[in-house]
Amino acid sequence: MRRPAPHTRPPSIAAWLVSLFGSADQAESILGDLDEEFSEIASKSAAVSARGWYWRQSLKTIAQLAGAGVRNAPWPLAGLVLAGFLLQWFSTGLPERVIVAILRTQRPYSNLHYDFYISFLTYGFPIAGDIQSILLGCLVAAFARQREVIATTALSFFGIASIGLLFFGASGHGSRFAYSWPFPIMQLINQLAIVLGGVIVREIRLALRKGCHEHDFNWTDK
Amino acid sequence: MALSICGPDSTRVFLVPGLPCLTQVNFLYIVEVMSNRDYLGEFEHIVLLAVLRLDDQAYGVTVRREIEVRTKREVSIGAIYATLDRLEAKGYVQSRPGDPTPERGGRSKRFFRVTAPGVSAIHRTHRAIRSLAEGLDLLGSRL
Repeated sequence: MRRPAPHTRPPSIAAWLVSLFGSADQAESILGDLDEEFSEIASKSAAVSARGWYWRQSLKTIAQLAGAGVRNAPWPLAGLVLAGFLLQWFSTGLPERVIVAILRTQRPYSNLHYDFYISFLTYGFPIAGDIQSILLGCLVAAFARQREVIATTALSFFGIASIGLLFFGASGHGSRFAYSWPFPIMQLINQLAIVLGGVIVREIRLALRKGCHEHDFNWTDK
Repeated sequence: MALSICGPDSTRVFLVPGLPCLTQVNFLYIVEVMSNRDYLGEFEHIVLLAVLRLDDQAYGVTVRREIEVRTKREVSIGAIYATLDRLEAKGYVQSRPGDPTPERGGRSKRFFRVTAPGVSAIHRTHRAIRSLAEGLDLLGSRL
């Protein structure tokens, strides 16, 4: 079978985003329906309008799936988000403490590796913060079966809202904290890293599920 | 049939001309009874009717088109599936997987059919709406 040109294929990013928010079975049938309608629209009109239709449908579908995911289990999701937020709150500064502890054992400032010491302090803290957020996202997603991305996105929104309140609250009081712009940007990246953790767990689960299905198929085939 | 609602001092808070008034207690009783019977929401009602009309050809694409053609209302695939999943959880529809096709990127369809409790829910909702609308001059009233 001839493979269609890239511009007549559905946008893969939109399809991937849809697959993140529904259950695996839901995603299978929804993406199939979207593909079917996309090929019909693409055969009748310009590829650009078909891709535009696909994107619009995908975004509306993601909003519906996320809303349904929250409505179907509001309390477990709220509990998970709260637990994640508290865990994030209590583990604030943990990566920094670990980095400082490692540096103390090595004593790099007392020898020729002083530049390494400075760059490690400069870049190590934000990178460690991002890794911590990814791990937190993975942990939250591990407890949110089929709703990994919804749970981590909700936690991320919760975090962004609290950072916003903290930052603008501080700027209202003329605090010096308000002028430290890298802080909210770093925190924003941390919140996005939480969603990334959710996406990683979701993708691993989908891959495992796919692997199991293929294994079952091969087994029944023999 | 009473459809106007009276306030505690018998003032009419929701008035339909020519109809006797309904006390708040009676109104709350009706709401309570209706909520216990699990009536269909507006979109649930529309989706169930579309599935019923399509018979054994009801899947996401056909249900969406049927609703768009009949109601002139644009709906997303996600809204259809969110509603169908909710209806399936309530036992009003059943789904079965179809065969994968090339135009669907090798993905299978999911066909739906309305169950007996689903048909009962449609009848119940129709009866409630008919009974509420009975005697109302919808064109002439302030509604």
